[in-house]
Amino acid sequence: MAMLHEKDIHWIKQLILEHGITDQALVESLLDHLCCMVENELTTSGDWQLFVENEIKKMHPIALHHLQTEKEIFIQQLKNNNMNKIVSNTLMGSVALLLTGVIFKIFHWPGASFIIVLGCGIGTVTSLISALHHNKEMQSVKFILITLLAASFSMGCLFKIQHWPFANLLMLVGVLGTAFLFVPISLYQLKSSNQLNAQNGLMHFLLFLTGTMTFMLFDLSMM
Amino acid sequence: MYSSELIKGTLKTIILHLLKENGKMYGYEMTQMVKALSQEKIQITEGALYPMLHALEALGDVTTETVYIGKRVRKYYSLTPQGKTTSSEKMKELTAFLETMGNLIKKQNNAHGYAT
Repeated sequence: MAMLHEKDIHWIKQLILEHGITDQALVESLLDHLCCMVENELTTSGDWQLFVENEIKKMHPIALHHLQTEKEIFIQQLKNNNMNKIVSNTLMGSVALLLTGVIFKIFHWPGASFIIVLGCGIGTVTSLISALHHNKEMQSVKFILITLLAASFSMGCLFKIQHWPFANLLMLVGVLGTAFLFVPISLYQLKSSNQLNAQNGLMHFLLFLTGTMTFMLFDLSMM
Repeated sequence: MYSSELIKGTLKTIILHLLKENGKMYGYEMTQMVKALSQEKIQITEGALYPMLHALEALGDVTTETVYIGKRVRKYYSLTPQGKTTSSEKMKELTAFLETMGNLIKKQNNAHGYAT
């Protein structure tokens, strides 16, 4: 078929809009695609309007406007993949820094404390950012809570190594929070979603036991 | 024609590879090239192609050049330097996956005494 006229193009555009596509970029892409199809695949005798209507029906198994949602999902998925790669590489880097710092500390080389603090700091900040990012999708306070508590405990350990003040307090917050805040919330969520079983029940019990036993080992007078 | 489930997992790699080999292309051109190169065994639907192309653009893997053809707009897609790296990575991943699948099927067939 010959090139479409301006009024034909306008008719196709209106049809796309009638199907609920509001994303301008998607409207333009689909419009050009449909015009190309009509111009290249339709014989001169064919009813081009019927052809376009049929092609639009074939574009999505449910309805054309679902393409917009799928586009957003694609973007989100690809962004998440990129984010996971960055988080994983940064965490590996922080672990490498931490190990380097420990080696420096063992050999009493200068700069050990700085490297350890840097490694721990990067790891904690990355974990927190990752937790906040995931929380948007999971809509769960559980994940962010355990990350905060773990961050508190690991920073407490770091403070302890460095002989800085408030080390015990930070560790205590991590331990007590895990045993008396995270475990009950997590168990409640698992119970209400019917996902509580012997395996995760035992895991939570062990976590509670570890938390309370570590708490009992603390000398509160040292705080 | 292969099922959409099989094509879905490799769509990103197909698009990036096409752009790497051909420089710049527009959507319809891509669907026709894939159709011709695969002897019509792979048909990319518009419903899968454009959301993926727009997502790749949003993430900076592809860039667009707009050309006006009368009252309509045609977008030519091409790879950015980041997209070239992604394309190579995705191709390596797909090649390794196909090799693993080939070995898996070969081993299974040998174990069951099927001819390969």
